[in-house]
Amino acid sequence: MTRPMPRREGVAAPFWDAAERKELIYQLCTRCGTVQTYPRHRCGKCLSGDLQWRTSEGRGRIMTFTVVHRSPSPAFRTMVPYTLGLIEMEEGFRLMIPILTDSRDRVRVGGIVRVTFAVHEGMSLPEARPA
Amino acid sequence: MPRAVISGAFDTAVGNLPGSTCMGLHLDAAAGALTDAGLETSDIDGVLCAYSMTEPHPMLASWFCEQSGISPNFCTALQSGGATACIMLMQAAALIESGQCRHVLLVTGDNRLSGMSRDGAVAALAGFGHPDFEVPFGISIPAAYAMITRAYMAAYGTTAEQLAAIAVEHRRHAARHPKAQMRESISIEDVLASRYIAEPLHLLDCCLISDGAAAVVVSRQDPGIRATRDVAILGSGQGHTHEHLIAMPRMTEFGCAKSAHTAFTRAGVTAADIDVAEIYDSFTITLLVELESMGFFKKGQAGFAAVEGQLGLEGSLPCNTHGGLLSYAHSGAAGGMFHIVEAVHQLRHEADMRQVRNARLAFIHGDGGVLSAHCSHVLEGPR
Repeated sequence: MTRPMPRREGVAAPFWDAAERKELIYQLCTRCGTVQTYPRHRCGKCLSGDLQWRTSEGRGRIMTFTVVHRSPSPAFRTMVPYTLGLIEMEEGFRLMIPILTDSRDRVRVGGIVRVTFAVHEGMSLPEARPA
Repeated sequence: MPRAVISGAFDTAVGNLPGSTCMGLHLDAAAGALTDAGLETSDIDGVLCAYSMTEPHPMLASWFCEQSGISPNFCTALQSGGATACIMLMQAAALIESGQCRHVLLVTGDNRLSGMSRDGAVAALAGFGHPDFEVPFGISIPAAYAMITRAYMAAYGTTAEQLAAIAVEHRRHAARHPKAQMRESISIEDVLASRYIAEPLHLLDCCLISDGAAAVVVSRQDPGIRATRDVAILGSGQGHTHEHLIAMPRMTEFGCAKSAHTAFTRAGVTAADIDVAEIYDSFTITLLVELESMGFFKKGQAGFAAVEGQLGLEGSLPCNTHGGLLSYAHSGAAGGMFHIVEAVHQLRHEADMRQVRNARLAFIHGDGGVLSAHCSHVLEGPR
């Protein structure tokens, strides 16, 4: 069973294209100024279609995290246990991505992380490391 | 305005039921609820169903009606995850109060344990995650609730021991219910020693996977006549803030606060008036944050209350007296319906060994997704 991968087509295609270039981008609504938590077809607050892609500095804060022991599907069985975090980026969008570290002590709520990219199944995916 | 009452309630055997099917369970539950209400299929003019993971169908309620010989005036299936049963009840009450139906049958059930592998059930539930921004990174429903747990612990000091006390109390409740799936007593140490599913949640912090079904009949109360077994729906409310964890507005405030507030206001009562509560408990943390969001306990206090036994049969708020999703059973949308059936049994004083003395007001609550969709009701027993 292969790991489920993000869809390259559709509204988030520019996000994954940027990830290929190791660039982290996010959507901003030019009408109301809302930063989207994740890319969408229209603004999640005012429903405007006037969205702009901006580039993130790649720094964020751990809102919360877990260490997953029971794999969600057989595809993840060889990966457990892994640390999965919900990261709030400084620009205001969010990522749910693995937190990689040699030291569990450095993974804590409120901790600062840097987002980098690694290739899995031929796709460049974001991941976080304690800063 | 006509008043809606619950006139019948029934749940099937639960647990591992080899050979059971989703539709067979639906029909068994429906037959039981009709008998309980003293009604025939020809009396039913409204039908609400939910969803099935073992036999997914785009028109589950129509299929159910075809199999049960019911030709209703209103028929549809609803989907709001774990909030579905409570939302079905709110919808049924609206159909009664608007005069469109006289007797609405609500049916839920699935053979989720025997009909699909545990891996299959876990994988299917991972579908709640965002397909591009959550699922590829390894989210699961327990992992999502584990992340809420971690955030909540950081904000309010909730401990693993306090959560374990909730699991222990549910098992104590289940031991008093002859039909419960898990009745063997457990200790806080047992919970903490059970393997991690997603830290800090252990196996025994997580709900069961079960076969089973439950059905309820909601009827128009005849003017001036309150049947001796009818349970009144005094007030209901909903709250919706997001679907995916990644989009949850805040990690410590949830839509259940609004749904409960609306239900209490419409019923004209407060949390302190409630005699027994049947509240969605997909994980120990689910119940804890709901209790604290809905006004039963202050923030950071429900864990202490659980350790003190306040959620037990003799406590200040007997909660999930059948054992809940943690120890009674959880079979899809029926999981939330079991809470409603138990509330009816409590308010009719038919709960035998687990009866809460003088129970008159019950609070029921369903939560779907990752604390995403909420629906609450205040119920009143026959006077």
